[in-house]
Amino acid sequence: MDLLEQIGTLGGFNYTIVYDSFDRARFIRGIGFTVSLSLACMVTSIVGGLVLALLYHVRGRPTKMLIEFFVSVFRNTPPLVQIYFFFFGLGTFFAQTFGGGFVVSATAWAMVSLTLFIGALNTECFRAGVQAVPEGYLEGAKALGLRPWVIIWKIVIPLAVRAALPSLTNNLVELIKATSYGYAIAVPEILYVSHQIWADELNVIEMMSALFVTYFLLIGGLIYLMRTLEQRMTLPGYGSN
Amino acid sequence: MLSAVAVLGMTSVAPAQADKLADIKKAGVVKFGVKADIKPWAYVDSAGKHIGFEIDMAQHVAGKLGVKADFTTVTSANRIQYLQQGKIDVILATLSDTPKRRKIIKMVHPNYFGDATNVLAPKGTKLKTWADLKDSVLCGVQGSFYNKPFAKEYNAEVKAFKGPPEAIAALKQGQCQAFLFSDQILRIQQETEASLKDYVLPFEPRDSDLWALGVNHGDKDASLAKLLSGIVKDLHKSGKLLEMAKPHGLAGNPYLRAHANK
Repeated sequence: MDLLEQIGTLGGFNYTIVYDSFDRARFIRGIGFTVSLSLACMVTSIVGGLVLALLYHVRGRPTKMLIEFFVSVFRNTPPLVQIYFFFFGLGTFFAQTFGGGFVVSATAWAMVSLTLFIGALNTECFRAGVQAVPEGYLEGAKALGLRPWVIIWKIVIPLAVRAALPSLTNNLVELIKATSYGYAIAVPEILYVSHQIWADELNVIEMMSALFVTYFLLIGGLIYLMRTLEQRMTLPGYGSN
Repeated sequence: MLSAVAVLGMTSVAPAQADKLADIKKAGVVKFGVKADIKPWAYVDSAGKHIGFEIDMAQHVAGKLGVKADFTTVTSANRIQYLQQGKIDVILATLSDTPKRRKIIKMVHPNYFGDATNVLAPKGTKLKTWADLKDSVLCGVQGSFYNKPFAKEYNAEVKAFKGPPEAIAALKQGQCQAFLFSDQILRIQQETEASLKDYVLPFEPRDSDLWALGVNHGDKDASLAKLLSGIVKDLHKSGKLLEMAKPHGLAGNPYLRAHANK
């Protein structure tokens, strides 16, 4: 019995992810997958949410209604149902309509689904951020003769993002948690991988605790980064600080 | 981190010495964990009633114990945990008897059914022999014991879903080249499901896979396991198990035939 196996089986537990190279490799790949899926969806959902929030304030009534409709659809349905809908509903529909040549992978569906879900939440949070920009600043900018896009880029976005940061953090935490729904459609993220391991090795308690700790650390890391960002971006005399 | 994990793991308790058989008799009910999506072994009819070969068998076993049968739906991925947590008394759910599982729960011998492993693939598949699975992408079911050995042996990627319906939906979409599962289950589903008529089982079945009833270890004198073992032995010997298999289209099963009337 080598050292790793001794550590992995300490106290009568069976942490195969410590000593079994196959399980360890898939567990680490699972963590990597959760992180990259989260990062990718963070970018898409933040950009998408910000664009929609700006359109909401700039464009006319039909646009407003469309955006409200989009937000309602994805805020009022559970993320697991959305993932199932995309993968088993739309995915099967596409396969039947376009034949076998057109296959959207489970990972791609998870990305689409999470982007729309968190994107809808981010739209709301940036919308509130844009609303929080004081009217006087915009009037001042207009009086100085700044072009509309300069006002948006230099004044609205920087202030809106600052105001939105605390609730954005909540949404991104929700995003990391929601990546775990990928497990239902065989996206090899950390919950799916752990599930495979405990189904094979029957070490449920061990994998549950490993999962718990892993998510705790991942989300803890995100919150730390977001707090740091918030502090760095604090404007003296603006907002609560 | 290891110590924190160990503390979290501390909640595991050794199962107390219980007399399950006495508990069952006292309650007048034996709780079976059964599948609900594996036709014709165990599925539900339009009224939501559990039916199938394994259900008939469970009714027979309950009758022999002199109690009523109660059914809880389980999946491959949760049946062993349900048993350990006491949600069910007996697993009767296409449970393959493997050495690893024998350490965790008690398998009732003799085995009541014999199966093998195979894949289901679209007609015209490039897969001709098992060796063709090298570097392939397969669909599977979460909790099946063969997922890991096949992933390792053929360097295949097994995408595992909740149950056979989800795995078949993914196969139809083209998410994988083939669906890795029980030979008998695939065979029956392919024969009975109209939507699978353009699918084939291209390989010779491999690795005999025997199914057993599962109960918890640590039962007083293993009295429940012993009694169940006698009942299964008798079912084989009297030819009654093969008889039960007939209406479900399973009478051709080589294992059942080899053990009937012996």
